[in-house]
Amino acid sequence: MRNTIPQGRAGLIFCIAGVLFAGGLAAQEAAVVARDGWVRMPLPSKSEAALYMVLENHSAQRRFVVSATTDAAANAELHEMTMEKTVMRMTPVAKIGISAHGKTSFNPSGYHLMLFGLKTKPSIGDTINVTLKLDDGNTVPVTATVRK
Amino acid sequence: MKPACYLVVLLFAICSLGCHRTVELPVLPIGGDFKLTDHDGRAFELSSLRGKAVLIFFGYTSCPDACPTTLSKLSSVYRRLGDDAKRVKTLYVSVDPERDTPAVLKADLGSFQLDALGLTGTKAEIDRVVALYGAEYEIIPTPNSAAKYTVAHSTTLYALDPAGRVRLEFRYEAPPDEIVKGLRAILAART
Repeated sequence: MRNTIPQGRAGLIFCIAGVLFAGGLAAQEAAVVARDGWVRMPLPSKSEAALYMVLENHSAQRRFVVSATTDAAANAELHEMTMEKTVMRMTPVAKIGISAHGKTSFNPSGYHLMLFGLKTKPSIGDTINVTLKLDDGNTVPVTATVRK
Repeated sequence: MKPACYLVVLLFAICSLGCHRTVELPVLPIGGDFKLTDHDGRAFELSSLRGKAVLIFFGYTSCPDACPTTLSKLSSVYRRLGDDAKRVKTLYVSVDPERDTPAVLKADLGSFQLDALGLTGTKAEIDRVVALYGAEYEIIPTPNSAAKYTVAHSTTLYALDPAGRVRLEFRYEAPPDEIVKGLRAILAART
């Protein structure tokens, strides 16, 4: 007796395998997720704004954000604000790490994403979408709400 | 009167003296009068604010964090001051005269609810004021950033009495209530 799989059942197995594969990819993409994104309302004369969020890394690998893009602005840059005694210093940084099974907060007085050359003047409550690129090539979508 | 009563009266008197001393703020060995240009493009002299308590801090309007945070906090301070708010003026001295024209300072300060004047000037004029108050700043080129440069700067808030003397310094993290308390002490202090 030949060990064959009926054609209909083969199709079903293919479909299940496809779903599992796609699910696996989705799980891999969601290893780092962004939440609580917000953008500080830019000042009247400015076309730039800082974006803050929390990044959670659900994987067992330390990951780094290496760049960011957005349709809302000409440039999105990774920056860090540091305080040395009483002096505030803002510096562009090449990457920002998120430890394995850990999280990294982007907040005033720390890391932030600077959006330069905003294409339209946002209003309070607007949302701005940004895509972060990780060191492993995966991307992380960020939705941030504009607030004061 | 029993000895125990004398002791209580004595302790109360010592405590009262101690409490009174907290109102008598020291005059800090920094500060002084200066001239700059205000956000309407007019000549400004610190001496024109005699009779008011004055808050001074240094910053720049492209600052993403420290300056808007301080201005928001001071808006809260003004709300909490109530009627005393009329006796307090805030001076926001730009350390980025290239970008912070009077018009830019005026437009951006308009986002905050406080009685503030934006001040600018030539680099030499600003450097003199920075040195007077013991502050510091540094323009840092960032050629790979769209900003082209950033400005590292002191975040200390200086509080002057109605005679123009620095009586208190507040650190960046000082909560609004601490600043309100300090301003009330300055306004109540004997000069």
